[in-house]
Amino acid sequence: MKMKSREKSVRGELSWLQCVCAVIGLIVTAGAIAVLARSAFVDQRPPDLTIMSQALRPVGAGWALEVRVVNNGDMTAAAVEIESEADGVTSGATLDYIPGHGEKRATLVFASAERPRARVRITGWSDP
Amino acid sequence: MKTADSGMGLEVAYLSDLGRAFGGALLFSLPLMMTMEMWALGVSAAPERRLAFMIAALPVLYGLAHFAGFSARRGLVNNSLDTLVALAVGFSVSAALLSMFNVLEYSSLTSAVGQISLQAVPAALGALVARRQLSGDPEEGDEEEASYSGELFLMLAGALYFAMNLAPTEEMRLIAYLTTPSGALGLLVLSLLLLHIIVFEAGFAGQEEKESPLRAFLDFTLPGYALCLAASFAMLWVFGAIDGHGAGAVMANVVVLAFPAALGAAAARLLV
Repeated sequence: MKMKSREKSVRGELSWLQCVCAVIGLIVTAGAIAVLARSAFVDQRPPDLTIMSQALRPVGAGWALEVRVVNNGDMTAAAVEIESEADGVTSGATLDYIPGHGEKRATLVFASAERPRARVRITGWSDP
Repeated sequence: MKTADSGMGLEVAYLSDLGRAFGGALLFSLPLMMTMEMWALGVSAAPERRLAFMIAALPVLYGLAHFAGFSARRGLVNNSLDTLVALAVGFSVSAALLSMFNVLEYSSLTSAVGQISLQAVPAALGALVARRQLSGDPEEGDEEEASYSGELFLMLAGALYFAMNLAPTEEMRLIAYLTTPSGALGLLVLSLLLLHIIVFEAGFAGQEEKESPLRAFLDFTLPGYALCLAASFAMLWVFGAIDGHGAGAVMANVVVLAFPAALGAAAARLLV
């Protein structure tokens, strides 16, 4: 059995395709390790979230307010709670994750006939 | 002319190996690519753990390139090149599929790289067992040449191959929370029993001379199960699944994941 396995093996022959693919693999893997190492040892600032109103449009249920939440920190924020209030009516949503230096969008709905003057805020988040 | 033909033949043969590597990567990693916990872990897992996962995977992938691989070429240089090629295959398959599924966090480079690299490692593992899985020849692979430590490595590879698909899922956590201490103990005994029966039946190399079941238990089953526990703990640590848990809860999680790991280790000869 041992002989059979050895007979199947081709030793010492290198293909150009193999070398090219291996170089690509080396570059991609080293790049990924560099990015991960940088985020592991250099960037460790906690989440720093900012919320901005983007657009308000009428929908069947009333008005839909589109908001954008940006994380200027390096660490990921999980279960981000956002809230908006307009004329005593509140609306809220939860975003699963916002990665460091990333952003997410959400839509908050107000069941009112009048165009709401909404104020938006982030109420909290947790570590992933 | 003859040299040019043989050179072209070599390239064509490698192209076929490469196709098999892509097939193996897809076959093994697709369940993980379609698991939402893996998308989130690429962003939420601690960066140093994602880095540790990537670096710890390199010697395992090299070992697989030696014992299994997607090509028949062997030797230090060929094994090293095939390990890198498997990673290139893993990264390209992960990047392509995750982009197509539109689950990548494009807003942050670190997050997208984290998501892709977390999936690239199991895909590379799948690429490196492609020869066994996709060649159609059950005798493919060089396991017969494996020494005792090589056999233990293959058990570890089998454990990782089988348990990695389950490790990130919430269900594993839920089972660990729901099971009672006596249930976890029963699972531990069942894992050992199944590992021993399958290992003994599969006939690992060198076992012919050690026909006693007790000797096989001491030589293969016990160290094999210890590797399963270690691999399970490592995977759970990388995925942050046991953070903030007490010793009992950590052990329950490890024992639950070690059950599929033990089956993978036992069937290592069939899988890898």
